Amino acid sequence: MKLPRLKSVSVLVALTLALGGCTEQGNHTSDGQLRIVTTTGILADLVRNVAGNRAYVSQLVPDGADPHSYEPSLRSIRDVAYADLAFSNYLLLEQHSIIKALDANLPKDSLSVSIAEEASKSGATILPLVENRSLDALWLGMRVAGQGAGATRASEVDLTVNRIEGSGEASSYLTTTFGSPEIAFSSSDGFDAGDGYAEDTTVLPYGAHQHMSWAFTKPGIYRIHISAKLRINDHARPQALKEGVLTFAVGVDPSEIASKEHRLILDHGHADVTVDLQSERITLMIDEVSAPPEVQRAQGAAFVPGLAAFDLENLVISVPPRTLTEVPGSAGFRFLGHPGDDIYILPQAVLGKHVHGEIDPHLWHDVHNAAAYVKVIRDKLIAVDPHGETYYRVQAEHYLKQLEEVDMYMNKKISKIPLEKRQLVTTNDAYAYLANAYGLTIAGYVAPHPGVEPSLADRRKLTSTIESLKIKAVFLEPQLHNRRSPLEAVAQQTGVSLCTLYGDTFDRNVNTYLAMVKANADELLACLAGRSEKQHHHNH
Amino acid sequence: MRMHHTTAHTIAKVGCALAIALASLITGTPSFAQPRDSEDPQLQQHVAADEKIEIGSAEIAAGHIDIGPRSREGSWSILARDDSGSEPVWRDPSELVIRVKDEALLEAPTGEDFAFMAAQPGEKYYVIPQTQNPEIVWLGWNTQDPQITRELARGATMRIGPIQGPGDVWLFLQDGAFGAPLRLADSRAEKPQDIWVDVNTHVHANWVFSAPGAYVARVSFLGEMSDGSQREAHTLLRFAVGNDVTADQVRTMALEEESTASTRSSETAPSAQGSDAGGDENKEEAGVAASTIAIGALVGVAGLVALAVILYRGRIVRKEIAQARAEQE
Repeated sequence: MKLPRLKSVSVLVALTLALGGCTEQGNHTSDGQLRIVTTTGILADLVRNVAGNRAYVSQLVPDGADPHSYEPSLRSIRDVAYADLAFSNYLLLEQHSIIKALDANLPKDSLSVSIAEEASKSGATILPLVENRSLDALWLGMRVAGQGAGATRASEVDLTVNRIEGSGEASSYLTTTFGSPEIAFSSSDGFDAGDGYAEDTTVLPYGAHQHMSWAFTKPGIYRIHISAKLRINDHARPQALKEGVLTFAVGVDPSEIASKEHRLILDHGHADVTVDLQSERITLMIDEVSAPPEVQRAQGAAFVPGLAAFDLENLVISVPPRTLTEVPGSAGFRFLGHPGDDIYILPQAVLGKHVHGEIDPHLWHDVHNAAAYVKVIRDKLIAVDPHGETYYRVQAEHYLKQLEEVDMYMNKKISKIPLEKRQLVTTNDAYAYLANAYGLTIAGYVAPHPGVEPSLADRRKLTSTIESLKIKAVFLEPQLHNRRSPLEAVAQQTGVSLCTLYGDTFDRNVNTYLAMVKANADELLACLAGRSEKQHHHNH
Repeated sequence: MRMHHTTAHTIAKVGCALAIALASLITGTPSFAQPRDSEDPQLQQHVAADEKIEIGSAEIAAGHIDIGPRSREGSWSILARDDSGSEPVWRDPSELVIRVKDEALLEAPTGEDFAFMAAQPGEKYYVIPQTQNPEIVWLGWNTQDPQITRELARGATMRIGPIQGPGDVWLFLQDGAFGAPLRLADSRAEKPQDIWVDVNTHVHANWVFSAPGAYVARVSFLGEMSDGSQREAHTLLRFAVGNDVTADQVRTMALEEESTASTRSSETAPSAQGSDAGGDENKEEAGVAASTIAIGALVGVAGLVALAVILYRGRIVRKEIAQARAEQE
């Protein structure tokens, strides 16, 4: 449907140009200014700050419109046809027809810049696009590591869960090729010392490493008591190793228990519950790259290259609210509860989090990235208009200082929000850079990106997230106010404030990048710090 | 639940042995007393004392294998780390026959999540599982070569296809959180399929074959380095599915190319024994699939691919193989 439409647009443009082009000479405006076209208003503002009076800048996507879905108008395409230089964000941010309109209508000798892609090559922070947030959690497996206690390659380890404490039931299972589960342990049918906990024991061979799902039925703190026995061979008596207790914070903010019990939060990367044959106890082995440097390593633990060993009592494993899902209907999963019941899951495989390898395109919510954009803009302007070099450098330098100030402003405001309240709930998953740069957590959103209709389950999950994290405010983009947004409904239902956060586009009140960052900083502080009464931020 | 025994070689071991092996491949003890090729003193460093690149054909029916890119001298190759024997060895994947035994047969699924397989009730499919079964080969991939982890910007694309054989083949992942199986590759697809692999990760997924027989699949790894340059390498995976098909039938099976791809470098020709710096285009990538291609042009939009390709020989690696081969004889 879009192709023919674009074609006709192109044809019309050609006609328009044929008629209107008679009076125009070359690409420059009559006063010798460069003509620059950008996709979004945010890019246009950044460009204006560098290009100053040497360029006429226009934007394809009007303020208040969403670049993910906006289709270019005929008039805006005319701007493209006269442009010396075009800036898009891309990385799949803009609606594809915008990019096609640029490609098709920009004069051959004009320069087209995908600014996020350029910036990512020159120092901008880039984040992977998370395709499935519910898989964005710790990847927790089981492992047998080290030599000692007489173990050989023929030895086996029985890893047993003999008790749990917690607000609900806990279990762990493998999902086999065609989807049926194999239970490692499950608290729902009790723990039977009479048969040596046979039903809750996993047999691991020497040197094993395996991944499985970990499931919890209710939010709260869980303690999982683990024992391990080494069987050197089939005839030897099993030797018991020292027991250990794993601590999980499920669906709740882990920082409370972390600070109370002096634990570090383990919430991303890869870790294994490890039967350490060298130190004859149970440890957590964590990928060196994501291992917390401030926590002491386990003494005398086995060495595995690339991994670091930690004592269980120094860590709490976070199972965030975004991992909440529903018990499926198939009979094999009845050990988790009834179909449709809530269940929090650490997944057995996390590849699906990021299987297409794309980059999240919303780079500008980290002000350092906006600075990287500005440097790209400066360099491209100089390339197209070398006579203006000194001017562009001075302009850029001046604006970069303002960016530094606004970055400090954001940091200062966020630092006033108590740690456990720095939780973001938004319409779409578009604020990863904001969260990453300024220490916020993406607690949830209605749908991953615009155009995805939230299901009833999605809405329930969001409500439950807001309740279990005791969130006080959710954030809506200004153009979505008064549009019966599902987020507004969730806010009403849970009685939390509905606040405003600028994202992809400006509005009448805020139409520069600097103003946008300040407005977002002020709003985050006002809404999250919990001091203000119910907010009414409808923009006029 | 029981994770069985033959799994002594499991990911933990692999991870550690891999790191050690690769570290020693780079810095380790020379295993050749004399470098035969005086032009190339690097040869001395290629094979570790305790982990060799095993030359020649092999058949593996149980145990753990990982394939992945390995970087040497600015060029990529794909090697398989075979952990099925008493000592781990490195192999050229295209010289390997991966046997999927009759014990791997499972009742084919007919539920909604697996409608894409269009299995009939009572049918049985051959399965290499995502979670380990000690009786059956366990095939994964990784981007954990230490040199690779230093060079890669973010990760690599694993490209699978074409996959050819008498039945359909699927590669898919179970996330264990009740999601539908995540389909990664499908032999019925018209084009090769891309799977993103973050740097320094190790993944296993399910391989399903709908019928017994000989199968061959092209696998490529493509990556962008921190310095912006591109690397790629190709190889073939050969599967003997079922107990009846012979390893020779699998080895002699050629991959039918639908059309000449831009990176037409991988042939099913026998190994480039003793090949040196010369060699013609057709020998490219025989032996260890080693062509590293520096892509000089960008991949265009709308499926239009404009490649200005400079082919570097996988000279070093092939020399290394040739040398090791000579050493064994």
